[in-house]
Parts: sequence; structure tokens; C-alpha cells
Amino acid sequence: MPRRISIVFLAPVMAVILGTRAYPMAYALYLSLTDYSLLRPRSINFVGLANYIGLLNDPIFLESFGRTLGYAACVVAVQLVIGTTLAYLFDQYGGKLGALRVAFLAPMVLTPAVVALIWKFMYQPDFGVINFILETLGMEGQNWTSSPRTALLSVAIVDIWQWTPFLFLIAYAAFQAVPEELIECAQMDGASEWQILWQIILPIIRNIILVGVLLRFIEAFRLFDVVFILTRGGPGYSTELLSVHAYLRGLGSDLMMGEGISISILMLLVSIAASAYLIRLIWKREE
Amino acid sequence: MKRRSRGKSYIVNSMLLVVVVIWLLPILWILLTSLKTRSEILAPTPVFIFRPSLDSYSGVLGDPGFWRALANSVVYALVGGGLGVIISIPASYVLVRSRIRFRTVIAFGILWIRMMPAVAILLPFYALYRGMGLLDTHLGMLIVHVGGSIPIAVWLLSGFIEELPPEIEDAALVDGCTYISMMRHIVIPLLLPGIAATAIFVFIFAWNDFIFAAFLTTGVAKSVPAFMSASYLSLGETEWANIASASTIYSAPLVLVFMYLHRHLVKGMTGGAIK
Repeated sequence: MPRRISIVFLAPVMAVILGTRAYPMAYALYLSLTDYSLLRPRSINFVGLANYIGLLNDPIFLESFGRTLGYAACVVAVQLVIGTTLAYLFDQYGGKLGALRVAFLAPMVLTPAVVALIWKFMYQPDFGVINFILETLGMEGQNWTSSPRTALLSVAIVDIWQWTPFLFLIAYAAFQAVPEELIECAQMDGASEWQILWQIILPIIRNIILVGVLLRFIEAFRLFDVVFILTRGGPGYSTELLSVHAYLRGLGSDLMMGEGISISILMLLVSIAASAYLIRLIWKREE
Repeated sequence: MKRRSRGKSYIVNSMLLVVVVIWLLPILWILLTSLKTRSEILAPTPVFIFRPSLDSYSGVLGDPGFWRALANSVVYALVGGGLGVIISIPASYVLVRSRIRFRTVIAFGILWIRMMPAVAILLPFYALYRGMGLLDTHLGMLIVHVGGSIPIAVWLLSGFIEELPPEIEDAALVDGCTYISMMRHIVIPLLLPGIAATAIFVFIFAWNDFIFAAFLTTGVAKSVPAFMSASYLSLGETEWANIASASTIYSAPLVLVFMYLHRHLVKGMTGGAIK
């Protein structure tokens, strides 16, 4: 393909990316080195790395960072276990349940903010259906989103509900792609179902699942909509994951843009690292 | 791999049925709730048997604010997403077929952009838009959505272009076609199913945005999720009836598209994990 034509074909996309991603990112980097605040937008002073140094010494930020990593790891682990187990059962036993399998994917297409609203309604302590079910079963109702003990769990449940189908979908496709002959051979050699799963199937599908896990981790790490609708980061700091923390500092309550942007840039570093690993995995598969 | 005893398979199948039905109950519950009256919704013991009423729907649909938000959502998805898909077609073609330098760098750069936390884009956008007077404008939101749709569109379209046989394109070029007419008469017609699948996926993505609409708009340019959060979830009394019916209305197109087109969506839904 002639160079000139390649450039013409690429130009519109590159222009949009430069305008809507590269330039804002450069501007963000610049603002993160200033004390820019929406309270006094006209006086911007260069402060060097003060925002970053301040953050690394700020227990609230560090706590939020740890909480976010822990949250993402736990949520993705649960999604992985449920999703893979269901995918395995559907693959091995559910041959005729195609429609059911597809229905299970439905939560993925719903608007996350709307999903959060639906769950917020079900979580209502006084008339919500979840407490009603718990009490009917003889258990104690909870103040789901308004108690610091259960607020993060409430967020996690919504996340798990909506995105377990994602890892299910990936795991199911992976199980389907395992060559039948391998498994038949192992069966003839007298391997048990459990041995076949752990020693033959899982090693084959490991990399595909890992790609799915990384994608989920990146998304859980940057979760915003669900937290914002369910709890706005509260009560206290109990659900202040990094995205919400960055928003609250920069725009929501503190209006310290410079600080908020510095947080989002530190988040970016984590997502760069995770994406770099992800890209290497995809690259390897393509070779 | 059907090699299981029938009894065991029967038990597992019933178990899967139960799990999936329970999993989908929240969707059913909000649908039921949207058909209740306000007092039934707020009853201390949830009501399971009731006479369906369209009260909540008439409440939402009688509000011009909701209609405006709905029109905005449609425009952002169709125009913003659509523009993104259109300009991504030639770009994806170059990324797959040409041997231009930096090709893989650009391709993976685009993938990396997709992984960026939305809040990291939101904050500088807010600062920029504030200065440019683009807060709460349709133009501002369209720019956001064109930018947001490109990484997804390029990623998906590249996958579809890789599946096209390059021989036809080569033959057209040998016969004296220009690149533009080759794109128009050969690549795009062959790619149409892939373009459609990509477009649907991009529309869903734009439809589902919350964070940008919630904070880059304050009134006229709000999309439905931002409108619902701002108007129904205010600090006073939460409008659960409106939330239930507006959620149902807003989710209905998603569920319908998913029911009829899930085969074409699976590739996008795996986020590129499965080729």
C-alpha cells in the first residue's frame, strides 16, 4: 500500500485520538504539576511534583489505593471461580441449554449506572427485596449501602452480578476450543474427570482465561459508575475506590483539580502495567 | 463432549437452570416494579401479586426532561458512535494490510487507550471544556463519544478485516482500481456484517456511558443515565417509581438487540480475548 494513501486513511482517526486522548493527557500531566483548583481557576502555580509527593504521604490516598487493589483482586477472583465453574458445567453437561447459556450473558449489555440503580432499590433496608428475602429465610437484614461494614460488599455484589458472565463467556469459548481427541485419549488411559480438567484442559486454556482476568482486573480497578450511584464513596471512606477518590478530590467536593488529576495519572500507571502484560499475552497468542 | 451419564447430566442441568434463573431475577424484579403503583413500590413487605399499572411509565413519559435525555442518548450513540465507526474503517484497513512503519505501535497504542480509566480522561476534559465553553453542550458530548468509540471500533474492525481474503483486493488493484474505489466496491461490501457488528457494539458502549454525561453536562445535554441519577436520586425523596420505569425503558433496546443479535456481539463482548 502506498505510504501516501496509508497516511490519508489513518489521518482522521489519528486526528481524533490526538485531540481527544493525547492532548487531554498532555494537559493532564501539566495540570498535575500545578495547584490548579476550580475554586480559583485563574491562578495556576507550578508546584513541581508536590501533588505526587503529597499523595504518597497521604494515608487516605494510600488506603484508597490498597482498597482498590484488594477490591479488584477479590471481585475478579470470585467472578473467575463462578464463571469458569459454570462454563465448565455448561460445556460438559449443558449441550441442550443454549438459550439458557445466552440468557446468562444478558447482564453484560445493561447500562452499569442503571444496574446500580436497580440494585440500590433492592438494597433498600426498609422495603428492599433483598432484606425481605433474608428475613424470610430467618436471617438478619442489613443496611447494605449505608453501613461501612457492608457498603463495599454491596458494590462488589453488583460488580460480580454484572461481570461474572464475561469470564463465563470467555471460559466457555475456551472450553469449547479444547480438542476432543485429547480428552478421549486421556479417558481411555483411565484418567478421572478431575484429572482431565486440571492436567489437560486448564493448562490449555490458561492463557485465554488470563487475558479475560486481566481485562476484568483493569475494569474493576477503574470502577466508577456503580460506586458513585450506590454510595458516592461513603459511608466515611469505606467505598472510596481510586476513581471515586480522584473524582471527589478534583471535581466532586474538594475541587483540587491538580490533586485529582495526579491521582488519575497514578491510576494510569497501574493500568499501563496491566495493559502491557495483557498486550504481551495477546501478542504471544498471535504468533 | 457429551460423554456423561444421563442421571448426573440431569442433575447438573437442573442446577444450571436454577442458577441462571436466580441470576436474572433482578431484571425481572425491576420489570415488575415498573408495573406497580407508588404505594405498592414503597410497601414495607414487597408486593408480589398486584394489578399491573402504567402509572410509573406515564410519570416518566410525561416529563419533557426525560424525552430530551432520551433524544440525547440516541444522538450520542448513533451520531457519535457512527462517526467513530466510519472513520475507523479506513484506519483499521491500513493497520491490518499496509506495511507502514509504527503500524503495531499504533495498533497497540489504540488498545492501550481503551484501557485508560475514564476518570483520567474526565478530569482534563472538564478543565478543557470549562475553558472552551463546551460544558453541557451536545457538541462537547459528541466529541467525547467519537473519541471513545474509536479504540473499540478499530480493535473490532481490525479483527474482521483480518478475515477477508486479500487476493480479491489485490486483483482489483491489478485491474486498475484506485484504493478509494477498491475500498468502496470491494472491502466495504465484504466487511458489511463486521461493520454492523462493530457499530452495534459501539452504540451500546455510548448508550451505557455515565461518567462523562454526569459531569460534563448540567442540563440540556444530559443523557438518560445522567438524567436519572440527577433527577430521581436527589437528596430528598428518591423517585423509585421513575427509576424502575425509566430503567426498563432504557434497557429494553439493549435487551432486544442482545436477544436478536447476540451471535454477532459475542466477539466484541469478549473484549478481544477470543479471536
